[in-house]
Amino acid sequence: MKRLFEIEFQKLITYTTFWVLIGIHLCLFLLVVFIATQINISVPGFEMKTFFAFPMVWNFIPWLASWFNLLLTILMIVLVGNEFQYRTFRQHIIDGLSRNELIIGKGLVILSIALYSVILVFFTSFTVGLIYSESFSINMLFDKLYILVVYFIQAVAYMSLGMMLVILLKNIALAIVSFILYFFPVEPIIRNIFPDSILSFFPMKVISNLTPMPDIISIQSTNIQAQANGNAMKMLAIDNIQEISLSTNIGFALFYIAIITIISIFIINRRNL
Amino acid sequence: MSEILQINNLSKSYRHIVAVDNLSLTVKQGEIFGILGPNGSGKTTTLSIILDIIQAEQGSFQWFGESVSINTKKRIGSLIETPNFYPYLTILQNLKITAKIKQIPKTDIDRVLTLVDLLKRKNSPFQTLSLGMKQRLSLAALLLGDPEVLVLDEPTNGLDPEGIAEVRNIILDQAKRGKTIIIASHILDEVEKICTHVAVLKKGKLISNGKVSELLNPEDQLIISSQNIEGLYELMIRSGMCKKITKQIDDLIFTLNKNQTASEINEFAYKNGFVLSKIELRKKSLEAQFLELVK
Repeated sequence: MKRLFEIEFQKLITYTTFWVLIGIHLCLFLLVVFIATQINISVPGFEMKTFFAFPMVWNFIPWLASWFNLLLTILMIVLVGNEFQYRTFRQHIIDGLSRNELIIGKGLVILSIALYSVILVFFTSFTVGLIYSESFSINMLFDKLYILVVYFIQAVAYMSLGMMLVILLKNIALAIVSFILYFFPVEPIIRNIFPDSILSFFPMKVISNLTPMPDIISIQSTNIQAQANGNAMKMLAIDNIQEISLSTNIGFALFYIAIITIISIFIINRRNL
Repeated sequence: MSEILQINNLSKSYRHIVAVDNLSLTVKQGEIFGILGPNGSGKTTTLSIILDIIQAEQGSFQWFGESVSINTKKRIGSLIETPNFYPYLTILQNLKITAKIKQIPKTDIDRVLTLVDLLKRKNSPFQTLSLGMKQRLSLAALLLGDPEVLVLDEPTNGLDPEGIAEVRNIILDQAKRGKTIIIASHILDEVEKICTHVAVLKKGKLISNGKVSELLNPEDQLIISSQNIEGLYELMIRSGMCKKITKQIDDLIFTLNKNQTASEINEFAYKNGFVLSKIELRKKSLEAQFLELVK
């Protein structure tokens, strides 16, 4: 495992495209977070800045970050696609790696990039939370930290799907287009055909639902209701407004990651390199 | 000599095109084994199968008497078609990756770079190298860990004469060190100059297999001439001493039978009243032999 990690590290350390894409990811994400914190929407029952306070910040920032997983997926597609373009997968097999080790190596890259993204989201959320929370307890600080684990699973799932597509298509541009098409129009259209009871279990739905968009209307109506009853404002937890429970969602996401990995291994083992 | 590679009834098709057809071969230790054939004859497919990058539909192969594995691969250095490296990495960084895969200490890198005369360029990115340098780098990569067997597919493809000579010298140098070398080529001159044994493929089928010297010897040609060329021509036909006799202006060209020498022909002609004004032994080239085989 260490050997595979060192091999992948050697490939990336001086690869300009990798660092440029990581740099774009970092700058764009921080820029969007900064812009979001400058937006001041205040309507009865809802204030935008509550998204940046603990514990809500642990929901909101990972949701923002989830959009940037597209960039990380493109990066992963480029990294795996290069191996076909330069015919280095083929050379690695000749030199002594097994076909499964090719996938394990790329799996380690996926985990590393996902870890970088989680660390970025953690520090961003923590900093934003400290700035925008009027008061907080230690409990509030780390109450929703598990969402970072959920975000990690989501990043791994997107990148695994990207890897599978490029292994299948052996072409970087085609894989990126296929991923975007599947993400936006294709799966949503397919979902429309199926009954409501199962549409939450489609791969993209499951993966994107791991960090769902904060439901402003629900939060607003709950808070108005609470105010009318004379209670203090309450923030509705994100996991309470999901279509299926978070644990079920995580279970399905892990299932899809396993399926995607098995398909990738199957293709690489069956294919002539 | 022990068997290095044993191929048994190997077959591979691409849709309706048969690339390798029931191929069986044996390569023994110390041989420089040429796989010769025109483009599309199945040379690269055969090498790709035995190096585990293409899967055969039928048949089997064994390296060192066992199935291909990580351990057997460590004993083989291979170059298939073009050099495959990361263009943005330097020579050194690329070789570090190869060394890691082969589980060889990095200290071996300088040794192989010296062998292929690339030590001074070790910090140059791969994409800045000339084709000849890229090919030499491939040779350096395959020599990492000093493998017992070298498998080379068209190693001089696209190189200028100087590059061809350099690559050829490196291969011959390795051969002198007792390595077993399997080399696929469509360049007859290359096979003739480098190889001890040759297998000729045509449309994936093995059509000839043996020592290069054996493949050439039976087909020695003799060119003779005399003042009375017509009389000499009739005499040679009547004698039955030679085969495939042809008359070309003032010369008779024919293929010698096995164990027949030029002096025997000269003596026979003299005894029958013909003084030969020209007698020239020409080894039939591998090219002529090859073209005849693949016709």
